[in-house]
Amino acid sequence: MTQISDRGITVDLPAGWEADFYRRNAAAAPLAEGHAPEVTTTIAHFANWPLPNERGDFGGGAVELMRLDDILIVLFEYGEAERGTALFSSTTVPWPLRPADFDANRLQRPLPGQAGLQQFFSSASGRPFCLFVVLGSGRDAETLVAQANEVLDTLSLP
Amino acid sequence: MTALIVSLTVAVALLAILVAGLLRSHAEILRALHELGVGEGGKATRSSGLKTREGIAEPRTETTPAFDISGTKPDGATRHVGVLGTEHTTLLAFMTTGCSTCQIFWKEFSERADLDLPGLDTRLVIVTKSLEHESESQLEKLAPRHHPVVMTSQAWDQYKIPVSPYFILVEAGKIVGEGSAGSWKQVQSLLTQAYRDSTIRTRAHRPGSDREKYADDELRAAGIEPGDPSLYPTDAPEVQP
Repeated sequence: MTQISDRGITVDLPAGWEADFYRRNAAAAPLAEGHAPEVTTTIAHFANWPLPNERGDFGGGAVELMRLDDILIVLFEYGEAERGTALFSSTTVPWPLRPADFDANRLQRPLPGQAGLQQFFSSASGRPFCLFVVLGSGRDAETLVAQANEVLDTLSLP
Repeated sequence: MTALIVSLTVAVALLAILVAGLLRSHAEILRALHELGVGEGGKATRSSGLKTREGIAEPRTETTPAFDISGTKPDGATRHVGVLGTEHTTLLAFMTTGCSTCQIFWKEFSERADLDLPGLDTRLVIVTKSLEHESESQLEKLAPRHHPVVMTSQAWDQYKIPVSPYFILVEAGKIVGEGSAGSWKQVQSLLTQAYRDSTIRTRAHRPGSDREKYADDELRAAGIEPGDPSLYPTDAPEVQP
């Protein structure tokens, strides 16, 4: 296991996994004048296969290259403007995941054989996150979800 | 007459000193050229006994195991690349923004997404030193879109990189090829050969059952299934006199 951290997010990755963190400008909570100052939020991609350098926030351009035993975990932090909204009302992390939670229709872009899951939640400090997971093969969900949970169980959020 | 003899003697002595000096200088030049690999078939022999082709830096003086690459990207965000425990091969390109030879590779990597890399599903990872040793603005300008760049001086220390650019090919967690060169074509040639050598060595050291399976797989790939008549020739091969 290798411990990786970036701006308060920490994860232990098994051998063969990789992590790529990047930042986006997101609208903060509006001020009294109605202007929303820009703040930076974090997006993290964890994968057990070599992530292509160019890809979208939710894996566009990468999921098309996934093989049957590949897993992509996306942790997407939303801006302060989303803090406390109904979508992020859950303050319980959505893992451990269950194979039954995955479905081909839960992918950003449905691809043959793949299965996905998307969950919105807030961290203990109230920061809004989306967890998006793609499995290379929905038929192997039992095995792949166990591997994804191995990583998610070590994830610590700010 | 005496003055003439003395003058000639002095002149001869001065010429002798000059010739000796020229010979010594010539010998030093020859020795330096020899060490640089000029002459004698382009091979250079150093005191260490290592031999490299002209224009190619010596390999690392100390071998190391392979390590994962952990560091930051030019924008400061964290990047971790798994090198161990992967099914694909990884080509690590240790480069700096300052070295002139590296500019050739920065350009090549920026212009080409498909580099015809040696090995199986090989992925290129560019490794620079950490931000305190690198030019952020230069790196932003040079970093290719298609290939990951990880900034980590720790990796340079772990792999004991002697010079930049320096390339290390890792397959199945082991370093199977390494070296430096002045062009991408040279690197391809160097590492493709190293990869092929490694593949042959791996096959040769397979246990019996693996070798059998490997042979079966190769035959199947060629369309020869178990029981194929070509596996059981009925005629004895002709013996050449």
